Amino acid sequence: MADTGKRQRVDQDGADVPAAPKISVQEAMPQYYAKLFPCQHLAKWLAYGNDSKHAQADAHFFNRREFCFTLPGDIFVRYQAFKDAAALQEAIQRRCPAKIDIGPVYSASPADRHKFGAAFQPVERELVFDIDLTDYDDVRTCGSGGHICARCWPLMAVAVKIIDQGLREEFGFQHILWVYSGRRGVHCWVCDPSARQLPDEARGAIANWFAVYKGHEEGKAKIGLVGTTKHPAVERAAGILREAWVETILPAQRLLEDGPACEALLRYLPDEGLVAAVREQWKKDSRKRNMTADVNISRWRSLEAVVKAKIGEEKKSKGAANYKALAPLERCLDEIVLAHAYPRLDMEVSKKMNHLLKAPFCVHPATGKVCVPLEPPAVDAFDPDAVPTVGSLLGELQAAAAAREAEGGDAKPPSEPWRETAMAEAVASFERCLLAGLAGANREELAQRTRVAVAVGQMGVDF
Amino acid sequence: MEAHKLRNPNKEDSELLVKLNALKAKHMKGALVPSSASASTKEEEARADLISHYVLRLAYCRTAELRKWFLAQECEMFRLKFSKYEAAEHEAFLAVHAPQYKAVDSAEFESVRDDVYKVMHSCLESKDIIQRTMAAPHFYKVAWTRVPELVSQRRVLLRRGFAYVSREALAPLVVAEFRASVSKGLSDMARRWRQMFPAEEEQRLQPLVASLANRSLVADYSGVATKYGDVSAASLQQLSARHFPLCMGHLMTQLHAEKHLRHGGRQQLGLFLKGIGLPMEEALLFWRSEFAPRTPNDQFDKQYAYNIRHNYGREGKRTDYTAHKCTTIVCFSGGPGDHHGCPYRRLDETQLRQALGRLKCEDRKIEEAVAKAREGHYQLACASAFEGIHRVPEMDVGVSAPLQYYTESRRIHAEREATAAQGAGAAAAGAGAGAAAGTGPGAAGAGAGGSGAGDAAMEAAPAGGATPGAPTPPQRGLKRGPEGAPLGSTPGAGR
Repeated sequence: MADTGKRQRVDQDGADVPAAPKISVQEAMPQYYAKLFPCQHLAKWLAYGNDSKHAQADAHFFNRREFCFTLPGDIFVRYQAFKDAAALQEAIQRRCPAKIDIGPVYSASPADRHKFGAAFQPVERELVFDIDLTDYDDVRTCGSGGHICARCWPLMAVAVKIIDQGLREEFGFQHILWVYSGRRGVHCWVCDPSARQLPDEARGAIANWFAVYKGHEEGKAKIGLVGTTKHPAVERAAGILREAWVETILPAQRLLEDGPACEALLRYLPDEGLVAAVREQWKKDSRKRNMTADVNISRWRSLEAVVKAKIGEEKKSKGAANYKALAPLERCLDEIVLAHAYPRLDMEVSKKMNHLLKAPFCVHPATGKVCVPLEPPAVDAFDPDAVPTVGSLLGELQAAAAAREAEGGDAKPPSEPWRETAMAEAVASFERCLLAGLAGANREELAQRTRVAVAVGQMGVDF
Repeated sequence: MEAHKLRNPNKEDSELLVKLNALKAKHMKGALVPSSASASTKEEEARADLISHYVLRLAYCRTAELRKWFLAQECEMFRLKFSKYEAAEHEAFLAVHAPQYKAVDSAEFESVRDDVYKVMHSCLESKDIIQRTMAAPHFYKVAWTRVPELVSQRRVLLRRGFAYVSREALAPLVVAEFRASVSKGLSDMARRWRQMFPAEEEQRLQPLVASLANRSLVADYSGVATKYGDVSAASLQQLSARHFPLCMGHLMTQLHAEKHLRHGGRQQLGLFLKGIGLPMEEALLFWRSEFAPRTPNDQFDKQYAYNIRHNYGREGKRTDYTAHKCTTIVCFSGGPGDHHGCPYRRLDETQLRQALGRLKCEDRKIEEAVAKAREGHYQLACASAFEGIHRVPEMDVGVSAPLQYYTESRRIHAEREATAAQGAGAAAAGAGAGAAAGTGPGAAGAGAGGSGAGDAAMEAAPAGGATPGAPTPPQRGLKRGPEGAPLGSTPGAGR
């Protein structure tokens, strides 16, 4: 409800937000689920066209999907399954979960899992990614743990761009939904039919493909760079990062101002002499520094210049064959950038088909923020402090009702009350990012099933 | 005799091949083929290979767990053999078994040429190979899902879901096909086994098949728990200081200092504690008291107790999980707040020196351990530390599991106490320590195919299988589940 960042809002149209009523998130949830939660849209997505009248539509498809409710007091209720959107809506309103997770589609309805024993297996599941700012604690200077602010959001923004582009251009996926996770991170759902059917091994492979950052070792981030040439995929990511590094990340995180972050950063330089040279140059700069320029940027430019000068020197003195000394030098600038800003995935989430992930449009129980979709092209402008909260939305509902009252009270509220709130924009974004594209893919998937059925029929195989 | 050819999963590639041949020679009744092998002996060998493959298929088809393990081992074997093929053999093999891979024509190749070149460069291929490949490019375009291994290591160019694979990088592709077909074969076999075998073959095949899967050449530390009696929560701190390897001692220290451990650390330490005989109730008590007061009781019950019970096989899937081996732990990576994994790999040198100093390791051995860790020999570094801390001479095999370290430490300690109790002089004590170092690593090092006691254990295993039909008792105290499936030594734990 802090309105400081309202200028940058992407999920609201900039209209004045009425003061939110002061009730706790938990108290607000029954109303949220009754009036604001876009359950129909969620169900439409997860049915993947199987809710249609098409001859090949599998009417039991939705019913085989696992939902997990987290009830107040951290009680997990797993293996919930619902036959359609109405049943889902009814259960959500009745139990009022603090969190809703989406699991895989199983070979049978999760309600009947005991009947099937070992034959009860996950068969289909979106490919998902989870990126949390907590994993960046060693490289962000603005806060740690559950903290998130406009200064660390650029880290998430580049992560979204890099993974999104990789998924589209390298893996050929098209139906990708990004969601703000309500507190300190983002979730990604890849919904292409081919992505949903990936076995665990392939999921692990994708996760590894993106895992350039490989955890911490000896107090430094481990970056899998070797030699002097980068893989085209890594080069693409590095390109995005180099630009964001000087434009947003460096000024926002102030990594090069004197302090532990700066010391840690200098440790990526391959030798002590170089570090000393960089410090010397910085000292020189500070004497003639023009006070308007950002010190982080000017220091970075000096650091780059010193490293490049050193590379030139090495090449001249010992020739290009001096590979042992040259390779670490040529790598170190990119290594710094990648170590501080390359996306840090929670790998385990992506690797297994049956990992649960929080559904879009949930409300984070601690912050009250709604998990709204993110659109990669606009991700830089996204302000995590300005997303609609359950409180702000309920306030807008009240305001809309009051406005109708003032106009004479004749107009009826819309059948879906959220259309009068900022939720409308979030749902529209969900439709743009995902549902619109999926419609075609769903039709194609059903048509493919028809073709298979016909082929089987022609072969005269009798099941 | 066929059963034992692929039970040694913790080796480097080249070493593995040699090892396999040695094992084969040993267990296949001297089928060591002389270098002047004629065509008929080769055929004979292929036949034996085929028979053994199918016998094992039968033995390992019964549960998902067994199938998964067997599949992994067979694929590894296949990969090794395939990598020894020559170019012509590759081509012939592809034409027969995998005609679905379409070659990339030259026009299309030109469009990706630069990127392909960069990929090869980034993988540090040698100049020769790059030149050879680029001079006469034979590339195949396949869906990326067919080459998960290459994707996983970023050793391939991806464009819109398709991977550009050179003929040289074919192996994973073919291994994937092989895996799929064996996997399918296994599940078919499992179905048929369930449908028809038990009734007819109850007396003859059933016991043999059931016992085959339970043999193991790899040392099994599940007996550790009982040997030195149960461990209680109260004694853990003391045991930790004396007997725990650094990976576990480090976790104990961090846990104590921070009153918390993240998931990876809880898993690594918890399963180890279970392995040394900490009963579940004591484990709950231990974690609860360590987490207090940062984590209040009821929050502990909600967030952590389930997982502890799960590790003990009392919740959810009810699998009796075993402690991680070094190979697993070394591969763990984690963020800045994580303390699990192998400390010889994860700590920097100063931290490592301090940690070993606290354990009163000899200075000379500390330096030795740090040097080995720097070279990437983490398990040898651990062995050096062991020698330095326990003041014993060379322990020539590396440490292969935290439980092994613990067992060795307990044994040396017990022996020293015994000799001290006998009132023997200083000379006797020295001899005791010497003997300990001599036999200890051998006994524990059976997994690495060590000498002495290790071999004796290996020989003991095949003895039962030599008489088909005679139901063999489970080997060496492996715990058995309701269907005779091994619970204690989870197949595939090595990989």
